[in-house]
Amino acid sequence: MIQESFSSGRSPIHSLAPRTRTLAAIILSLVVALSHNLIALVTALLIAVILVISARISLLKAGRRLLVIAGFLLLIWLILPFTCGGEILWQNSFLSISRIGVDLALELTLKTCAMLLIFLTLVSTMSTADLAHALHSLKLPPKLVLLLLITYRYLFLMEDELQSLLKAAKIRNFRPGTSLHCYKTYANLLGMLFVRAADRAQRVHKAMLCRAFDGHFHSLEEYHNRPRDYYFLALIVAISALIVLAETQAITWPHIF
Amino acid sequence: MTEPPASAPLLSLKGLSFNYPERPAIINQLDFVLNEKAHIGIAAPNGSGKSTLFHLIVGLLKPSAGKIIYNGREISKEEDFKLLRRQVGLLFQHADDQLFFPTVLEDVAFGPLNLGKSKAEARALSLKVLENLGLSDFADRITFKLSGGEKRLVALATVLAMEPKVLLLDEPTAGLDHATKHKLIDLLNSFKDLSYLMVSHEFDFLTETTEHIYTMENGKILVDEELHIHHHEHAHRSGKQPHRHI
Ligand SMILES: Nc1ncnc2c1ncn2[C@@H]1O[C@H](COP(=O)(O)OP(=O)(O)OP(=O)(O)O)[C@@H](O)[C@H]1O
Ligand SMILES: [Mg+2]
Repeated sequence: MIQESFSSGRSPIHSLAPRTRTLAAIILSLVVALSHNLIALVTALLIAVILVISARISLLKAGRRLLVIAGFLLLIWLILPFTCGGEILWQNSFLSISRIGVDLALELTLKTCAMLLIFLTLVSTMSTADLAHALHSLKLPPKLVLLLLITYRYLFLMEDELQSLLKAAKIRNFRPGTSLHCYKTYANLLGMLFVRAADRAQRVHKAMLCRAFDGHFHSLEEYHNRPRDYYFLALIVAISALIVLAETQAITWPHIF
Repeated sequence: MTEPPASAPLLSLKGLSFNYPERPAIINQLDFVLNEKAHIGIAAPNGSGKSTLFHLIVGLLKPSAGKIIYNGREISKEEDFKLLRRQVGLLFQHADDQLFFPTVLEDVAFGPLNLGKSKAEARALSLKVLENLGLSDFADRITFKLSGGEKRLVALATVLAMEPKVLLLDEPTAGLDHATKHKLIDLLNSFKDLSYLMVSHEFDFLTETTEHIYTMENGKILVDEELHIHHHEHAHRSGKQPHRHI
């Protein structure tokens, strides 16, 4: 099951209006994306970890989410240090590690982790409906918002259909294996999945039309900006300014190697 | 059987025809009139085109010929159908298609919100409809983790929350237990001012909730050949199967 496991918590972060959180996430991730200075990035990562803690998300769970991108990062560490050239940190007869490569890989790692954690705390702590509503009130085009909502909804549909197809196969004693029969069955299941999902999507669309859906999305939740929203945004802007400052002051990273 | 109140036609279908691509006509020159405050049942075999007819009425399918007239106005353009759908609520045969929000309350409130109700109004209305259906505890449940019968009731709630003037109910009792079915009968009987057209294969349910029961054959609703089923005890008490008095 696809779950929005962080969206239902109670914490200072959860009590902020979705729009505030979305705006904060956008500001922070913009600053992180544009920074190259390692001190700025380490500061950002620290801020992100503090945010995770204040959203009462267990660090273990957050870490598990980070594992998702570990493969990507590993690939970067396997390639960049050996292929960038420039000043050489260490070398033997057939390998050389370049300083620029290591710095670049480190920068990317910090950026990725910081951004992921920022989005984890600020965006995944709200339901997709809330996110859509927040984006809507931030003046994102309604079509894009709708696309997000419908994608979300149909993901569930696809999963639902897959589960029922797998069940149907299972009760007829289908056992996964590597025979040609199994591959054929899988191919059929996959084909059926897409056909049925498309069919189902059409019926859901019809049902939405029946309920006076006109392309605009209304959320049941009502959010008003409270003082805490303004304080939080002010804090985020201040932190961002700090990171930008670190970036422009060009405080050099003490090279470890 | 209660006499239908003499009243104006609310929804009329004239010479309606429809066929799925590359298939013979499934609705064929169909004529039908639904009066205000009329409660009509349709009992017809599988595949006779009942669901198709309902989809045609609310404009989800486009007829190849014929007219749909609602409240004295011919409905042909999508814009007209949009207005019609605000007053004609369709309960789908498959409740799964009808529920698309994570929580029951959000799903029920979707229609009222689209109709321009404020959030507070939509919430209050949805909670009231859920309460009427005995679903008060369901508001925060996850829609796709409900049982088949529960989904059915929630789907009905989503339709009722739009406060329609006409209900099209496609097998509302499918998968409901005895007690729930009786609750539904009481509920339908309380809708005195509403018109509804209902498909069901359960004759005793139809007799308790409708004034007339018609059948469909060859793509037409046979209005002349009304199935007369009486409220009094009669010889077929054992027969829960559909049966006809000729
Ligand atoms: N999307 C479709 N494409 C082609 N044919 C269809 C489609 N949907 C339904 N049909 C066919 O049209 C006929 C009427 O279908 P419909 O669903 O209206 O029947 P029904 O009277 O509601 O039956 P049931 O009592 O089983 O619900 C059936 O023969 C069916 O096979
Ligand atoms: Mg049907």
